[in-house]
Amino acid sequence: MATHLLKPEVLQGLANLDLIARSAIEGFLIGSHKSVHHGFSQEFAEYRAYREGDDLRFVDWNVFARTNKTYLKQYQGETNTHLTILMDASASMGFTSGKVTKYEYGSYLAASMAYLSKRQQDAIGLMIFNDKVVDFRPPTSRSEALPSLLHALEQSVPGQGTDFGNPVRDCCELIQRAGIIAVISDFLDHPEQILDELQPLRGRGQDVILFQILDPQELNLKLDRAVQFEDMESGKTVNVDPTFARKEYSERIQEHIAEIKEVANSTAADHMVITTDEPLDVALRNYLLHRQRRG
Amino acid sequence: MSLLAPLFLLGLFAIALPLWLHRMNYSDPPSQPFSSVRLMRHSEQTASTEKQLRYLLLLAARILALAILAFLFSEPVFRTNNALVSGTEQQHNLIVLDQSLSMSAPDVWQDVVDKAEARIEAMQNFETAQIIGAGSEVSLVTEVTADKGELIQAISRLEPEYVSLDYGQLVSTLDDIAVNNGSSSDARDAIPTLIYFISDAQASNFPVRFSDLVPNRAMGLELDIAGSTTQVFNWSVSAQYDRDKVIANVVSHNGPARQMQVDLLVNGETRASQTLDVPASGSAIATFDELALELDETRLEVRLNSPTPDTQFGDALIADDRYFISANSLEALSVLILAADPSLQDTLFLDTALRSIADPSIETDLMYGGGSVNFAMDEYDLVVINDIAALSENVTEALRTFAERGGNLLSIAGPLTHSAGEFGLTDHSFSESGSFAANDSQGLLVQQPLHGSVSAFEGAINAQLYQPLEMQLLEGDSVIASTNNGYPWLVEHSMGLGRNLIVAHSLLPASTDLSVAPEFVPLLRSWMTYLGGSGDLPNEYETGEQIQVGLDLDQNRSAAVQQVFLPNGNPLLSLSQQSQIQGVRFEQPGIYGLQTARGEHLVAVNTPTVESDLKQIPQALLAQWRNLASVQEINAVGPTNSGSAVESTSLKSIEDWLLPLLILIILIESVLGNTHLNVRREIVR
Repeated sequence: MATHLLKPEVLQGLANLDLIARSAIEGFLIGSHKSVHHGFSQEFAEYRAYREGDDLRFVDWNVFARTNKTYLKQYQGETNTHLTILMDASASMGFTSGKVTKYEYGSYLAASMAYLSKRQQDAIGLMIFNDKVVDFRPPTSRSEALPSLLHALEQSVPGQGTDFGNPVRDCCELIQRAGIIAVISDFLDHPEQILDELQPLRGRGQDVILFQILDPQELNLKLDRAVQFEDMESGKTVNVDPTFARKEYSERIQEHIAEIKEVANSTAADHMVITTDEPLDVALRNYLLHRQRRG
Repeated sequence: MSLLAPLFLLGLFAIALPLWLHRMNYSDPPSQPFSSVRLMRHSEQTASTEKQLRYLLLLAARILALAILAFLFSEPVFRTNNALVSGTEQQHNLIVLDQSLSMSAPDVWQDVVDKAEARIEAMQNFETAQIIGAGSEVSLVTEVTADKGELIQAISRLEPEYVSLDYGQLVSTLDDIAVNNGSSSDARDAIPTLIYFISDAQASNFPVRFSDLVPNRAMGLELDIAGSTTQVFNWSVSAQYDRDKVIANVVSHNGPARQMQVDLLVNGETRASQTLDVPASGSAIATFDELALELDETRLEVRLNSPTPDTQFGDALIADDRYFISANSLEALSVLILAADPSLQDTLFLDTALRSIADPSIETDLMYGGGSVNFAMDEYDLVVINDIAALSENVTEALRTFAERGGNLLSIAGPLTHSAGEFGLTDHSFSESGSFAANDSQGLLVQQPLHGSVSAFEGAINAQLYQPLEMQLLEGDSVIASTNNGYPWLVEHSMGLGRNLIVAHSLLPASTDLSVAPEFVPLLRSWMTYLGGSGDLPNEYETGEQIQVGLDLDQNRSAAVQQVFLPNGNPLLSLSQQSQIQGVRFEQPGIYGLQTARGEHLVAVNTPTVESDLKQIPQALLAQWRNLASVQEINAVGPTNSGSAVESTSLKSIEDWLLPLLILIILIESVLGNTHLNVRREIVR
């Protein structure tokens, strides 16, 4: 089964993000019982009247013959939109309790979404940020967009703190067309601050989806002895004993996730929590639903 | 508050251990990166505070437990003021005279008497007194009286003894006497009692625990030191006897270096002398070897002398210049074998086996038991009867008399018993079981593994009996071992003062394999030791020690020693005194004869070595004892301030409070420590 390719640790073993994205998507499509070669982009969606500049190849000549009117066949794959991925590359994204860091997992997800979007003729863009914007590739449907985006993801290394303000501001300034904005982050900052920073996206016609990538240990912290944790972003240290980890921390992280969900709701965004040990298909399916909803 | 043993406060240094473990040895837990500690920070403070608090509580509990422990050992006491005496109230004095050996040093005893008399003379109208002698035992010499003449007269009856004294035990006994006299710190209306103790304050009499020196129930103790304050010298001698050799050790107790002569006396006559150079406060050894003592040369004495009689010896104690040694030779156990037929195989086996026993060595005489009594039975330590059915009436009667006087018998059933089935001496009857086939055999089972006659066999005797006899038991019989099917095999039967061990089966090889088994000789040795008795008496005692002596005719039992002969040869007990078992104390040094069932056993009685060292308790310790034990200053000469109330101080121990507190803290420590362990054990489930 090719679905095993969706597992993060399997994807990690592949050579580069391009291959990872292909493997992930093909695995995903096989898992969804869809044909790779006769994919959804060939599915008829609707007719629309010909407008000047439309490609004559898509005119339905049968209809023209019957009605003497020029209509274009509109396929699903041709309802093109654009996807902008905001990738968090702060230091906390470099955390892992296993093999795959949150940043790596986020990269796989971003690459897979970009690959999927590219197949749908969508324009794809990428903004990598930590406490400032590290790299920005504006959304484009050109053929070199995907390799460029994948290269940017590969080149970035997690570091520094997190600030959603700058990337969101830049997004608002640089991306005028409405589309999908996928924010991939661990969202471990204060929810109020995140809300303030994401608020500008609301009302601009952007369809926002928040992918909250967490390590399994962040969700379920288990210690066999007292440990001193050092914050990967601030460098602050905290002594944590097993009782606290077992009882209070798990309550607190669940509260935090609920608060982030609230933030998502208040910014009309979707929110999805993914752990780095989960296969990618759940996230991709979620993205597709989102994409479908947008039409 | 005062401490009776302040040195134990050094134990407080142990507090350093938990301090080191908790604070100095403290290190942060291992550090590891984590994506964000934001969610932990607030709670971490609470958890950390809680943990820190628990940690500090645990540390405090541990420190407190150790501190209390050290404090308990240092024996803290509180002084409480009591109105002790007023002119209208009574006061009772326990005037205690130290009678230990060291008090016989020159001028010391006279000083004791003078001090006691002065104290009696100084008594007021409201005071009563009792004279107590503290020697081999603490004895009340007088009843409670205000009669000064009677008290002074009682003092004249006391003199030093050859014993040592433990001041702690003495104070404890005096406390009890004070209570018996009606004085108790709890009873306010009781007569206040004061202990007035006159002693030389010998350091070697000091108890292990200082607190033992402080009376708890008597109202106080006043210590009056008797004797010269100038330095006294003493030399003592002790010795060891080892086969043909006597090794004498001369010790100088605080004395200067000097030459001493050591004499060895055998049966009262000087056999050898040596001159030794004894170093100052040191010791020297004299060895007398190749003594080649005769059998009757059993009384040895090592004596310390001045080599020049005209020289001033300067030795404070004379009693410890003599050391007695008893050179008891191991006498052979004299055994009479009365056999049905001395030429029969079982008798030969028995005789040979008995003669082969080395410890105790056994001398046997083999006689025919079926005829007339032509032997002096009393000359034997015990009698072995082989085939109990073969005894003539005369012999039976003689044996009965022998046993009733305390003689012991070993009675073995033989072929005649198998057929006759009776034992005339004890009226026991035997019968052969018809249910056994000729080749049936039975093993042996020890019923009383702790019994002296079989205790060496750890519960099993590896032998087989063929066609065992069933012995009918009489009242008072004690079955020591039986056959597997429950027939008594070895039975103890009392006869007057004597013991009779009955073996209910023949020793003929046709009847048992016991007589050719490896167990046979050890078993016989065990029986001989048990019946021969009294071989375990020591050769040496210290003056003041006691032994049990006498016979209890009513209870039909006797002590190992029936009579004691004093060093001068006189018997200690009269005939009437011998008819009960009592404790007899060795009052004087010398060689005593102990009359046992096996004859006379000599024991050497020497003075306690601890009394030879006349060093006094250090002044600082004495001052502390006085400070803690005295309730009021009573001048031995001057009268107590009569007519007005006198404040006294009594000491109250806080041990009763501290112990429960310590237990509580240990419990808290356990709970806290366990919580800590729980946290550590919270491993991923």
